[in-house]
Amino acid sequence: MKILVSVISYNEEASIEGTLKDLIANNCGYDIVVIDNGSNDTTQEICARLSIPVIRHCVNTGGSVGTLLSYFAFAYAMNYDILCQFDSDGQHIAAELPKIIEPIRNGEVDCMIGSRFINNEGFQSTILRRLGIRLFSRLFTSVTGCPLTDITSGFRAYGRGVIEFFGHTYRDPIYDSMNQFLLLTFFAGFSIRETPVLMRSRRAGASEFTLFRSIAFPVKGIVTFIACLLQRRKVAAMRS
Amino acid sequence: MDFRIQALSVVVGVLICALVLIALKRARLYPAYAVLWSGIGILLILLPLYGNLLSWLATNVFGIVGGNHLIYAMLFGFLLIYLFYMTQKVCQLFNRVERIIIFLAILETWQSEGSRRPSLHNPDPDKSNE
Repeated sequence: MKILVSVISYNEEASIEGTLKDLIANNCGYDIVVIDNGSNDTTQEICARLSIPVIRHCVNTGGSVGTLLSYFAFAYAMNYDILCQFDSDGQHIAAELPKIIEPIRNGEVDCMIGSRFINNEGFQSTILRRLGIRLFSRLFTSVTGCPLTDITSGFRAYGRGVIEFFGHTYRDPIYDSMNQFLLLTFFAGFSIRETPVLMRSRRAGASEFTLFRSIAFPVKGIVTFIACLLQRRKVAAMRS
Repeated sequence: MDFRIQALSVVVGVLICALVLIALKRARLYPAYAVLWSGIGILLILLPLYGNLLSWLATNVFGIVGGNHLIYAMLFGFLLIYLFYMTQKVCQLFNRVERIIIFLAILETWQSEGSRRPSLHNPDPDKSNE
């Protein structure tokens, strides 16, 4: 089975080297690719030194969601069976990857999410963010019946079906890697499950969640939920 | 405030909200813009509730005769701000398109000349490939 770990990066020169070395040291049979969202630092040089291929956007496409279609299209084009999402800021731990890869390899589930909030171990984020995550995770659970606790987690793995759907079939804009993306995945008929994982606090750099984005997040989140509910039949029809 | 303008405002507000929902269903509107337009729709729907307050504000605070004119002034103000925001967005998109054009031009040159791909970060491509 071909497995791809896509490391998402934007001006993360201070932490990406450690992240890539961690992935190389704990490699359990996966390929690594860095999706550089238009960095203007030394990210590319660091990747070249470690012989890691880079897909570099010539312009920044905005936040982590701006890289999503790139790694799905790449995984689809290169015929990968499993695709893992991995942050370059040092929050994710390579040794935890088998926890999200194995259930997909065994055909148990289509989308696997690593959650910080099942066992409440490791880095837990700020109280305000935890509150927002809990609120939207509960909303997701009540809408879909699929129990999730960490809807914003970027530590995820997807099976071939999801790779084909988002890398090839789905053509509408994706503007939210959390609520919208997971709702579309669910409405397209894919199964989603969580597993407890450990995470660290980011090693360097700043989060994409600025004060303004944190305030706008709940409002945009609710509209996103409404939009996805309105699109559910269309999305289901796309897959069939 | 005149009943007819209030009725018209409610109809236009409902129309805007319906258009926003249709656009969301067809995935043709991003949530941030959906929030903005549905906010305007809701403000127009609720006009009968605060119409008298607008009339009072128009006469006593802004010195405009009639609340209707204050609504026009507010809509004009909103459109000006929105137009300015859109102008900024157009500039931003223009910059992106320009960069993409440059990037594609470089890629085409590499492809046609069969040359090695230099790093875009390094002004001296030969050094970066050493």
